[in-house]
Amino acid sequence: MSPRVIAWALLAAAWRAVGAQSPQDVQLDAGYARVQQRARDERGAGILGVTWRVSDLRVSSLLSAALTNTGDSLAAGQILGAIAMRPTSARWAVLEAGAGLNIFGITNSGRGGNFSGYLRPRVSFGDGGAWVGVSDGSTVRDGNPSHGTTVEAGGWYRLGDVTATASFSRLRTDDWPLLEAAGIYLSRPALMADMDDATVGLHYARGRFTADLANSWREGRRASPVSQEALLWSASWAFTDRVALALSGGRMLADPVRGTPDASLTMAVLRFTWRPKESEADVPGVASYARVAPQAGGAMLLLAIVAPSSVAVDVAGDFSNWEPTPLVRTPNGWEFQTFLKPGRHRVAVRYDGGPWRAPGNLARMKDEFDGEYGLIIVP
Amino acid sequence: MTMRSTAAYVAAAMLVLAASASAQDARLSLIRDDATRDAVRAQLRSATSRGLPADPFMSKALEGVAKKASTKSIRAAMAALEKRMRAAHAALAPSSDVDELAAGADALSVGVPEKALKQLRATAPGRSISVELGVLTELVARGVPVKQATKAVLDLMARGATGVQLTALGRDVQGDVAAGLKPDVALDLRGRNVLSLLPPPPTVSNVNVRPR
Repeated sequence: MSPRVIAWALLAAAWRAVGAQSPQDVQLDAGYARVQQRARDERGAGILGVTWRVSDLRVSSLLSAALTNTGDSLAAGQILGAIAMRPTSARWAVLEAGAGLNIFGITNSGRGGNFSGYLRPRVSFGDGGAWVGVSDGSTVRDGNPSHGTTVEAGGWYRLGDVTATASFSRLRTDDWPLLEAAGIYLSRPALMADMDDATVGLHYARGRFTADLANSWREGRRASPVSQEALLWSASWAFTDRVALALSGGRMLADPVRGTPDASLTMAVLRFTWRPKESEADVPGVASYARVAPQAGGAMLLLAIVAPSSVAVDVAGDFSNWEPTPLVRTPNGWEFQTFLKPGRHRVAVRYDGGPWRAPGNLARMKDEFDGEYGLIIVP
Repeated sequence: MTMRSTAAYVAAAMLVLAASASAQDARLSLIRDDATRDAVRAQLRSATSRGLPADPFMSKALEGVAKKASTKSIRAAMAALEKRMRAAHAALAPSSDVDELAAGADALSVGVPEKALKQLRATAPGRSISVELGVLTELVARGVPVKQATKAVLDLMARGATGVQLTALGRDVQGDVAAGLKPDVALDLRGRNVLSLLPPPPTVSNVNVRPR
């Protein structure tokens, strides 16, 4: 069974697991890109995309559709579905699967379409993790079928605001038109071309700013002697919780699995996001209780939280100068305690780095940042 | 006051101010983004120049930073807080107690009118009413109508309810609401409960009674 079939089966099975109660958001992208393929004129392209995300504590899924309007586009239409599942028995493991459909409107690399799928199990440990993956795609261009398969392995490590990734993959394909358009020619007759790709990336996120930088090296194997390098960058700035500007540029190498050609691009996208305000009641399986036990000179705040699928729970409030403090994992969930002086205290908790919420039994107050906090009065 | 004691007083006041400013600077340094830190510093100056305490503003700014709010949002939240703090300051005059003003601002944020703050102040003119204001805010945030919550807290204050009794009332109402009771019904029941434990209200017959 190919990764595409497995990916679709997993998507279909897991989609049902994401109930109507799950938090979801819708993102609309509108932008413009300048694209230049090898030995072709530079072209402009208008981009319109819609992405729908729905997340459960165990399952996150994404459905995206994009239209590219140009006389000579990379892809006239694209639909992508992806899902990530985290079993409750092994919170450090995630199984990610996705499938995509591209409908080409291109003239220089042929008309047609591509269908691809991937499977990528990954494990995390502390601030790092590793993954292995396999992807498979079929392309029909001007009536000619071709095929590409990739096996990959990679890892990441987070240090403060920066996350570094490195991956290695081997690609096997017979998509000759795409390879030749990318300047890759066979040195002798062969049924398939083999290439190794190595990629290192850096991701930086602080406040409303994020930036990514990725450099790829491609080396041909056996009958396909090639040596290519590509640098791709992107940055985004969120003006508000709903509006962000994303810029990206650089070169992307030909991807025979997804049928996309070697091209240099510069792109600007205005991104609008609609996200419902969340409260703890919206998160299934999560329950929290704040107990304020009077003591001499104040009170002891005891937070007990049941969040079976969370890998990290933080608390913040006036008592910590709003510095997030991790809760301690116990056999029954998560716990935290601190001494509170007499007076008014504001407290909020978050699960897996998500939005800050008022603990379940406290009075919920709006925080003027589109969120909430819990109010505690110590006599 | 002698020259020596005046000097000592001034020195002590300067030490307190310096310690307070230094604590504030330390908290400001928690804000890494330069633009946000400058905006927060400006808002703090604006608030303190009007005689308002800096602490609630600093806390609101740090909350915004923790929640990844934009500089604009943090500035707007601090400006809104300043407006409420000024209203609370006027309603709770002559008090300038930090907890009381912050609790008053909280009460205003959930829809308690300034008139109610003045009533609470008039009921207990000589002491801090931050706990009473906090419990009132809690009750309204839990869904009790403002008028009913204000009346209940005023009644309990008039009967001499302690801070512990008032906070226990808020906690009990929460438990009842979680169990499915309507907030107003829960407050009515729990309020009666607390009132039954308190001494009777002063009347003409038992206020002016003189032993014969």
